[in-house]
Formats: sequence, structure tokens, C-alpha cells
Amino acid sequence: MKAQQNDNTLLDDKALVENLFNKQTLSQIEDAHKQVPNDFFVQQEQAILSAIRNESPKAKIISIGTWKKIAIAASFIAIAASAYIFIPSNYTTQEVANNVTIQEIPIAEIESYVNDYEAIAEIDWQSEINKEGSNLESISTYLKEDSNKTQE
Amino acid sequence: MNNKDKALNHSSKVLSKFVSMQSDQELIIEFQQSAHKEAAFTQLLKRHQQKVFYQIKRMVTEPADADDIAQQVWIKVWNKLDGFKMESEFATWLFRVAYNETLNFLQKQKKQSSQNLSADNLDYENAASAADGPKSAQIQIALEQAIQQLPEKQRFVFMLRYFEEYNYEKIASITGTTVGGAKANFHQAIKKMEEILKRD
Repeated sequence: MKAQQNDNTLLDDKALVENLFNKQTLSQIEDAHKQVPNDFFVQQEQAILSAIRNESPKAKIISIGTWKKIAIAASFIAIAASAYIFIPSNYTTQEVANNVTIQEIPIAEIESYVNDYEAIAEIDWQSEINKEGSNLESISTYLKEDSNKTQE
Repeated sequence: MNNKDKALNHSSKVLSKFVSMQSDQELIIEFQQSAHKEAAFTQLLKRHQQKVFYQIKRMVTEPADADDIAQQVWIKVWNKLDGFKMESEFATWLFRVAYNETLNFLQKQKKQSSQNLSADNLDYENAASAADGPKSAQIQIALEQAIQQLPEKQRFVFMLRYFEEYNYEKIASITGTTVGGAKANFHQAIKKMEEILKRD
């Protein structure tokens, strides 16, 4: 047998099984598995072929590669982004500025606006201090000069 | 025509039949490229139908269940054969489909109801006692029960190795494991059966 020729351990494995369990019993079990009615396989073949013939054709699933998947995802992102950029919103910032007076803006909002800009100013100063080569003395000199100019 | 001529004629017929017999690979190419798929498929079915059915029948107790599973396997093969890339032997791929279908069936069966061993015992007893004396029938029942108590994968590997005489490389491809894993499954199966038989 071809399998036996290529597989030296097969006989050992079979002998191991047959030493533990009776060989005759094993062959009886196998015979029982192989007991089928006459023409069983002819009928099974016919049943399989008729099931295949009666099966409705399924929708064909086309597999797409990684690059095609990326391209499709990118085109969706591009469409979404262009929709955000090009479709005009109904209520622009300019229209808000034209229609709303300063009295109508709540004080809390004005305060938060001022606070936000103060934060930015502080960040700017911090970045000046952190700049390479700058030191506190030069900054204080700069500040003094600046305040003198303002007083003049 | 004398006897020698008759013998020569017969052997040439046999030879021509053998030469004209297409390999699995050729039949698959024919299936994939031809509009008339059924002829090639039928050849493959006739060639492998019995081995597939017997392997499934070794795994499930009811012959009717084995028949249903085998039919499902072949329908799946029909639907997927167009995409078969011949990276493995057709028989290996076919047994892999059969392995998956059988495991699916057994898992569904487990969920539906726990196995009724007493009913199974009765079937084995009837089948065995009809053929042989009471003692050998008892041994056969005990061994069959021990096989049925093995985990599905170990049982499948044991059957392929002992009854189908497949090498471990092929068994590993079918069951989706390594060669070492397949060997371990076979030896664990023997050990477990021995334990079950000693216990009972």
C-alpha cells in the first residue's frame, strides 16, 4: 500500500492498537461501519446530483484585494470630506455677525471668550521663554523698554 | 480467438481504461473550465464517495445522519470547487470539508440532547450478537463505546490513522493541526480507550 511505503510508523501504530485491542474486534467494528444496503451509493449519488440540480444559483461573491479595499475606503472618505467642505451651511458666521448685537450676547460667553484669548497670550509668553538662547533678563529688559514706549 | 488472444484483448481493454482515467486534478480543471460541470463532478463523486461516507459513519452512530452529512459535504464541494486552488490534494481537501461538517453536526447534536448511551448500547448489542457469540459481541460493544467516548478530534484522527492508514502529514492537513499534534491525538486516543476499557 502506498501509504505504508511512505510511512514507516504506520505498522508500529497499527501493532500498538492491535496489541491493546483485539484485531478481530477492530475489523468487526470496521465491517459494521461498512455495512450499507444494496445500491446505497447509487442512490446517494442520485440524491446528491438531484440536490445540486435543484439548488438555486447563489449570488457570486467577488473577493477584492487589499489595495482595492483601501481604494474604496479612501473614496468614501474623500466623498465625506468634500461634502463637508463644499456643501454650504445654512447659517454662516458672517450672517450671525450681521444679525446679532453686542447687547444680545450673554456676559458669560463674553467672559469665556476673553479668558480663552488670555490663555493664548500666556502660551505665547511661555513659548518666548522656552525659546533657545533667551533668558529671563533679556525678556525683562524687553518688557521695560516696551512699557517705557507706552508711557511716552 | 484462442485463450491467449482473449487474455491479450482483455488486458489491452483494462490498460486503455486505465490510461483514459483522468486524475483528480484533470477532473477539477475540467470542472472549473467547462460549462458542463456535472460529468467531471460525477467522476470525482464516484471515486471518493465511499471513503468519505465510511469516515463520517465512523464518527456518527446513526447511518441516516452519516448519509445527510455526506450529502451536505458533496453539495459544499460542488459550490466551492470553482475556487479550489489545488494547493493540496483533492482528497485531503474533501476530507477536511467532511471533518468540518461532521464536527458541526456533532456539536449541534450535543447542544440538542446529551447522548443516550443506553440506546446506543442496544444497537451495538443487536448488531454484534447477530454476527458472533456473546463474548466477542461484548468486547465489540465495549470497544465501540470506548471509541465513542473519545473527543471528536481524537476519534477522527484515530479512525484516519488506523482504518484509512493515512500518514500524519495528511491527517494534520485534514484536521488543521501540526504533524506532532496529529501524532499526539492518535496516542492520546489509544491511551484514553485503554483507560475506559479498564475502568468499565
